[in-house]
Amino acid sequence: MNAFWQGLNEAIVMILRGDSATYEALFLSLQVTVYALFVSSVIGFPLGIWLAFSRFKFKRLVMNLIFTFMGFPPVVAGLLVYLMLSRSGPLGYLQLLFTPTAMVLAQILLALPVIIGLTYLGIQAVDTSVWELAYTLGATRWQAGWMLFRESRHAILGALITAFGAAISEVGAAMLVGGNIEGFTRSLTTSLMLETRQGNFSRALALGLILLLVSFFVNAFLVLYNQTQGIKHHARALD
Amino acid sequence: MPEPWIKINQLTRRYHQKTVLHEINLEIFPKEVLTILGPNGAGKTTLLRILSTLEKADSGKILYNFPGQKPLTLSFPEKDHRRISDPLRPSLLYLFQKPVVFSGSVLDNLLFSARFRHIPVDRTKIEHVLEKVGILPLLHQNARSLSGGEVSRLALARAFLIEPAVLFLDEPSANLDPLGMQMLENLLLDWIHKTDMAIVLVTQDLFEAKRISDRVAFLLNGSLIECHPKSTFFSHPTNNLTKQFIQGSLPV
Repeated sequence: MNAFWQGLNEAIVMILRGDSATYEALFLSLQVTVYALFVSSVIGFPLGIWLAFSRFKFKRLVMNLIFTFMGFPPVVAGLLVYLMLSRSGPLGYLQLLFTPTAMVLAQILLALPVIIGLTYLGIQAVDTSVWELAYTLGATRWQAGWMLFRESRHAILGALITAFGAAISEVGAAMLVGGNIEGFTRSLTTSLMLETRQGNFSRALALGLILLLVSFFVNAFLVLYNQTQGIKHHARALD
Repeated sequence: MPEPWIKINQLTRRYHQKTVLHEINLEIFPKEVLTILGPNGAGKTTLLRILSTLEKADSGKILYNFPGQKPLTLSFPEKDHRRISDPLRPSLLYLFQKPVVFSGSVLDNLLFSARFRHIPVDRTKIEHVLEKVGILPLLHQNARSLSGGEVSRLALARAFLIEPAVLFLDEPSANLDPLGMQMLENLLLDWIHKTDMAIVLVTQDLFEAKRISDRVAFLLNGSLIECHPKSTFFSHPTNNLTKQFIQGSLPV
């Protein structure tokens, strides 16, 4: 228990003092996850909407695969990206292995299925006649899709939070494809692992605490944003 | 008689093996209220959805000929239905039987409609249409909290904002009380008096058909039994089934 309180103490000191290694790890983690979430959202949300509406032959199989990949073991995702990017791999010439970009790629592999799957389920749960209503009111197909997306924004928020949590907290892929290079690819989770291995439990605990705080603030921001979106209306547009 | 705005020719629609609409022929004229009368499952809603381009038919044709617009024919099976029917959409508006709204306030709902159709709006216009349907006090209320009747009124307010050439109403009496219906009917009759618009109304209510229609078409099991001006329809129906329906003695 002593180690726990010591870790807590040290964490606060590290945050307040602005320990550079910790902040570097924090920024790398945030940067990698934000990029991965951005790419996954741009691809995943439209794809989820599209899947919710389209009918094709192997749809059930495709959805089963997506749901399976929602629980993709990070270390397997890391392995796949590793094989793609390794010198003898098909994308080896890009020389991306052991870079933050490789970490982003691995996290996309983890976040994308979560976003597609949860968007799909979210849209299934809302009343799809909203789409028809928008369409009869003159919306283009994309505008109508947007209206439906808007109706399912609580599910969308859930998708973002889940994907964020999965991406920022994973360590297997970051370790494999990032390589935990100090000052370059050392993220919160990989450095946490390193500190634990080296027996610096209080430092490791401090990093864990920072990770939790990051998650807390990001989620609080997302939830708050969602709420203000719900209340906001266009009254101003009239004046 | 003026030229019809919509001309339906041998329209057929099947769901799986079941024929929902069978070789329908019908014309819709400007400045008229056409009521499509029929029992549940007659295919009324399907017909309305096809006419308002929400759905495709399997065979037959629909010719749309609005003044100031290039005539357009949908020949089913139409491969690229969405794209081809697109120019028609500004002229048509379909009001759902089911109360559907976008989340947001009543005002938001009207503004979305205006934005989709690129209609400039200001506060006076919004207030005017809400006043007309009697829900101005609900301007800032969450649309999700409205009652079925209030949603129907909101839908009507949207219609006034959009001013389509043809308005399709799917069983408006389903959500409106008698007072609401009276308001709706008065507003529609007033509207049609002032403009050239056509109203196509689907109902299973004989009295509603009697009150508001110029012409009545009787639809049964996907077939159009007959269509006449209101007085002829009710006093001298030619078909036995129509007679029975009017008398309430149609065998189930």
